[in-house]
Amino acid sequence: MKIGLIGNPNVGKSLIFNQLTGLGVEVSNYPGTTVGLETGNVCYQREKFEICDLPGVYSLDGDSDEEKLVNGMLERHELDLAIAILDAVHLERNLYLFLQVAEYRLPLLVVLNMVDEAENSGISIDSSELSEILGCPVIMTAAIHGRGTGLILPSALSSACPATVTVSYDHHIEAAVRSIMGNFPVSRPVALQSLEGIGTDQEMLDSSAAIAGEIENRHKMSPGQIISANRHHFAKQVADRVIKVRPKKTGFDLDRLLTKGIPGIPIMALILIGILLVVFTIGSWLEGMIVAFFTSYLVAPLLTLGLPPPLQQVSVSVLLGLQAGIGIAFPFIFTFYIFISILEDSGYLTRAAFLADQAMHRIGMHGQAIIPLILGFGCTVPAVMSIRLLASRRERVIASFLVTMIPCSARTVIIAGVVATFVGIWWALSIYLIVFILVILTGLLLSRITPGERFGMIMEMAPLRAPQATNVVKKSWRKISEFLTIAMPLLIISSIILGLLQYYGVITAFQNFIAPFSTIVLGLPAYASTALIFGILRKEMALGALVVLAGTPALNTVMTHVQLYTWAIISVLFVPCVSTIAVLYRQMGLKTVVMVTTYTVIIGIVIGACIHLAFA
Amino acid sequence: MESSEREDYLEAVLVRHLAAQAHPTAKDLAEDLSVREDIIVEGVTYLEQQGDIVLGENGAISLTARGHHVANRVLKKHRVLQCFLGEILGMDDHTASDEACVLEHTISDTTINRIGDYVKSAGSRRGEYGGNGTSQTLMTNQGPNNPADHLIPGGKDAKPLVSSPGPTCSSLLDAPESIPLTVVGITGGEYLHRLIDLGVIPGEEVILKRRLHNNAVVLQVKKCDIALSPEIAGTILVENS
Ligand SMILES: Nc1nc2c(ncn2[C@@H]2O[C@H](COP(=O)(O)OP(=O)(O)O)[C@@H](O)[C@H]2O)c(=O)[nH]1
Ligand SMILES: [Mg+2]
Repeated sequence: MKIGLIGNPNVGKSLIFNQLTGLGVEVSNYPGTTVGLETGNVCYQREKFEICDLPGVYSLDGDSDEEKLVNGMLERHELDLAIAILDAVHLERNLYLFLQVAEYRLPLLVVLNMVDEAENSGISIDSSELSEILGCPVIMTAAIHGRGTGLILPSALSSACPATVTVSYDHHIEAAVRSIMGNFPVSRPVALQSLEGIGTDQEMLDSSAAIAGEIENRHKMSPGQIISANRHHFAKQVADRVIKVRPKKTGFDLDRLLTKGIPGIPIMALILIGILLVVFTIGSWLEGMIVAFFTSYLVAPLLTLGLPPPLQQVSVSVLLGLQAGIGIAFPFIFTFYIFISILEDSGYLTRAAFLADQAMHRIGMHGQAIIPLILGFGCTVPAVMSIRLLASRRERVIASFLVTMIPCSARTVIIAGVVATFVGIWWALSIYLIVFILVILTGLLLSRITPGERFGMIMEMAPLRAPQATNVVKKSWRKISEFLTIAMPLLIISSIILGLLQYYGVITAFQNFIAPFSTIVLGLPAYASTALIFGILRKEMALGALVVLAGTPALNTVMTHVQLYTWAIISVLFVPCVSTIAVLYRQMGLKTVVMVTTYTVIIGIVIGACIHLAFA
Repeated sequence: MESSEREDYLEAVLVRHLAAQAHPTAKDLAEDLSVREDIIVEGVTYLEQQGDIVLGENGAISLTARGHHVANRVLKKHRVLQCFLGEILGMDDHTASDEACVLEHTISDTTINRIGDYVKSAGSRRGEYGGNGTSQTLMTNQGPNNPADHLIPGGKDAKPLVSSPGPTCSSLLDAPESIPLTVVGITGGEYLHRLIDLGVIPGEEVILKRRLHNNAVVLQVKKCDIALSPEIAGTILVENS
């Protein structure tokens, strides 16, 4: 039996899904986190149920991928039962979608979530009256406190039934629907959609279009608009009957500060820069401790064992790989995600998007694009995935370029580990500055030359909430364990390969080949260029490789400051890592990947060469 | 083509667009302007060459920025004049509209602004004394409770112009903050569907919660806060409610 969770974005579907299935789907306080379909199994009374967390939608007849996905599942009767999750605070707007879902006449359970917030803002909802009107069971929950969620599955299985509520549309629409249903064997929702020009049966679409034209002529508005207006009107009537609002004195409105130009924009800058600095400091501190631990308690004792040379090489490489994974990336990525999760859950990201709208226009995108850019500081992979949030392909292309250029935490590791440690903290920050300038220039350029339509931003502001420590830690932990399971083996294996290649002299051969280019154009020792190549696998591996190839972690003894700086900036800029290339390919197609990769290689080498020339 | 003719065409395109939220065709214009379709087609071709309009698929006509500017100016004059003639001078709706159609092409900007101010102050004075009965005369004729009726301008045979938004209406870019506003129309675009799904439909009461210096706005619709880019905010027409 297949059960779907349907609802508007940001109503708590994923949270309820997690509580039902015990799985860990991402829960975030901004619309559009769940884009694909998440499925999980539960056993209840010795029966197995499949539960799907559907992406949040505002209606079923739009043309976004999410809307098509949800609508398609309902139309093909893929769900045996649906749990409609409605936000009690915004009941009227949520009912608009529900009325549409109800037309499919599948067994439904209504879950009124967020009753805790509704209570706090003086809204009380008469759930039995609502259940009466809708004709299906209604239960109230506050998922965040686990209140009522235990009842969801039992109620769904025992009492869910098709809703009986019916929107009565304008009589011309009703007549048209009757006539379509008389001529074609379709259900009411399908007939309504074909009147709006949505569907697959060409013959039916053609005849519907004729009727639609007639209606449009009379009403001076399209059937789709009439239908929507009728639904909104109906939803309002229902909401008015079941909602009682106790006037409540409004407390201090934090939004007044956050969404004003002043002090909103300075606050935003402070928050973002603050996070970067704190992550940088905490990260380097933790990293120092872990590296020291590895060196004195693992590597040093190993070297004293006197193993046969190839074996020793392999064991050292394994340790170095481990060290790169745990010791270097872990402190940065984990700390970063703690902060980002707090931002996500507080609802602040949507405020930042609103404030950034104009600045983003300059670089060819809209406010929402700031979310992938911010996420990009953590890891480019989820950032690229969140590009889906953006409405037009044009914006997605531009965002693909910019997001891959943003220094992710792996690149922060390089900046911190090479420049901050050996050259100086201000020099490290100057790399950020250079990258930002390049990002802005690239955006300015791309917004001129990228073809395609421009849409504006239409974004629901997530309510401000106090983030929950458990969710924040869980989310960050999930990200970091994902990183550890995927990246660790890769890191260790490639570290071993690197060690062996070096042991058998292959690296030297490659270096001799690359040496002229490396020394003349970039002013770097050949092994440094070789190390850069390893950055393609994972960015921070470039650093690991450099340490291995240079033969010492004290890089300042073998390279000059200019060389270290050049090396760091090239590895920050050039070529996204393999995982980024893979998601970018899945998300945007081959052409964009090739363009992004080529562009970053060129820009990395050009900037590297410029710095070399400037200081040489 | 005479300039008054050009203005009429562009105005008709805009009005159609405001009312039906779709791009009109030459046939629609022929109907609205009571001119033979072949003449319209000729005029439309000319206007396209002039860069006032763009012809899309199936002959759908949309305005360029330039065309939009002209159309907007004329339409505003038309509304002010119609309001003046009808409400202040007491002419009947039909005559007022016809007269306005002629005057709109020749009247100067100064005169129209003066009339506009006069009409507005007269309107608010009436509002003070006259109570509900007369104060609403300056507004769109607000339909009965079904919001679908708000979206249907006039009756079956009314020209869309007759009940088009009154002179007090403005886009969200000029609307006042923090007071209840009523949506009168959306001049449309790709995102129209999303706006409608979020509840931005004519007749809906909304509050403009915040407008930044860059004209990005936060609009409260159905108790939800929605952030909009300036280009979208500019297409949403509202009036004080
Ligand atoms: N106060 C409160 N917050 C909730 C409740 N349910 C979910 N949330 C929060 O609402 C936000 C959105 O939740 P999520 O599950 O990601 O929503 P989805 O987009 O529908 O999947 C998260 O920040 C949750 O912590 C609830 O019952 N009460
Ligand atoms: Mg979700």
